[in-house]
Amino acid sequence: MAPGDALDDEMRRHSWNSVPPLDAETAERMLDGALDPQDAPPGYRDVVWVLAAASAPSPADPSAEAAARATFRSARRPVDTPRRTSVLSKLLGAKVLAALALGTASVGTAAAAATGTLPDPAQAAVHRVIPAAPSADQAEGAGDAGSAAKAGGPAADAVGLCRAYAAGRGGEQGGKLDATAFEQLTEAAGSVDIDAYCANVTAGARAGSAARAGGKTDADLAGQCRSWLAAEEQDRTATLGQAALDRLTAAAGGADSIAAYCAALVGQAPADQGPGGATSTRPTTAKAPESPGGDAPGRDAGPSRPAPTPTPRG
Amino acid sequence: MVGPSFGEILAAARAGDEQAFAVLWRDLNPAVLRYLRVVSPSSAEDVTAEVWLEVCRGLGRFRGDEPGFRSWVFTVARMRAIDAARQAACRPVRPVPTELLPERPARDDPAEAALEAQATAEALALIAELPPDQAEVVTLRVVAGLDVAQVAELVGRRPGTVRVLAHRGLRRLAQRLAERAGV
Repeated sequence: MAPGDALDDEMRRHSWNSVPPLDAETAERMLDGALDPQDAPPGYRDVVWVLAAASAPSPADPSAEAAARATFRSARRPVDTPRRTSVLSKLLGAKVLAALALGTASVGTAAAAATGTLPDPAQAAVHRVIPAAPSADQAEGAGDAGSAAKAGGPAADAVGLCRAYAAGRGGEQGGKLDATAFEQLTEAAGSVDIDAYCANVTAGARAGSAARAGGKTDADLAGQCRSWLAAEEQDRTATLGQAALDRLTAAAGGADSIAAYCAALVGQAPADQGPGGATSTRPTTAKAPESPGGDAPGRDAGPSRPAPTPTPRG
Repeated sequence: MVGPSFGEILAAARAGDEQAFAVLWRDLNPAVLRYLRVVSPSSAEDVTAEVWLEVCRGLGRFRGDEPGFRSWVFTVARMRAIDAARQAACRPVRPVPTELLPERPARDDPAEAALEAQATAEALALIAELPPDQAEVVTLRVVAGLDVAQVAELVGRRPGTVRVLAHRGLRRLAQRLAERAGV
């Protein structure tokens, strides 16, 4: 059936006597929005207005745009970065914060990351997290061990979990890992081996307590660590002496953890720095990585909104 | 339409640039929402949200220019509207509320009337009263800004059929408006 027949047929059925005819070309121009109402054929001026109203510009809708942006972020996440990494970075973020509040240990963690001590995903996460950490520290006004304990909640959890995990080693880790808390630990460790992850977490915590315990201990242990790190494996007993080595092993929580412990403790101090170098870095640690512009408190105030909607582009 | 910078903006959005995505969203969302108000009036907002979720997920796979992008987004919208209609099949159909229909379009100041959101809502309600295939084709041509060939491909009809449906839609609109005006 030709279009013309169809139209005639419909016109007969509806007895559209009141509707003037409309040629195809004019109809297409109306549909394209290219026909001025003044130029509309008789009886179609209102139609042109209706079509113009239907396609009129829409006012901005900030709340709908915010929802769409959130959709965009959530939909893109699994493609660009695995979710697991974001959980890991959150936990490591807390860890870095706690370490920072404790003093030198934060730089220790950074150093651990810089020296490649941390497993790869943790390494990447730390690199992302560290620039954000100092501002949070400033906002909380954390500079002493007291507030460090508060700031260290999640990290403390991780340390506790790791210790509980280690305590069950050789026994029933399978059962332990079923518990919810251990699921979190597994998730936090991600693709990283839990043993390696925990070695880092607990070494960081010990390095923190050592730093807090006092400059003397700190400096001694740091010195031994430097020697330990500098020496070849087979020469370590000879270089440090059995007593020092035992002390280091005890401080690190095991012979396997010495590398991570030492990297966390002394990694930040340049090799040529004299004794006390580690302690002297402490005051600068708290404020050195200041964020540019001094907008830190606003930016990191966790519960508050992110930056206002960026200006629209033309 | 985004215009000449479309390719750049699409590439940025595909790379995860939220700001670039927002440009695309601002350009297309009003038309998507209006199209869905016509073809899926009882669930237009929900379906619109589903459409953008699917667009976000599929952005990395899309290849094409701006007209192609618009076609794709409206194809997604059409599919989601059909799904929504299927899901709602067991629920009673909500008729277009008559109070939303225009008494008559504002005759003395069409430009101002066209800019009114209320006028837009009324115009869409009037179009939604057309037989479904006419309403859809008119909306895709006028609101989505797609040409005959794009609409034909989108709805799976011949271009000639699309023209006839749109033409009938316009005539029926004229008739309704004439009735309302008391002619």
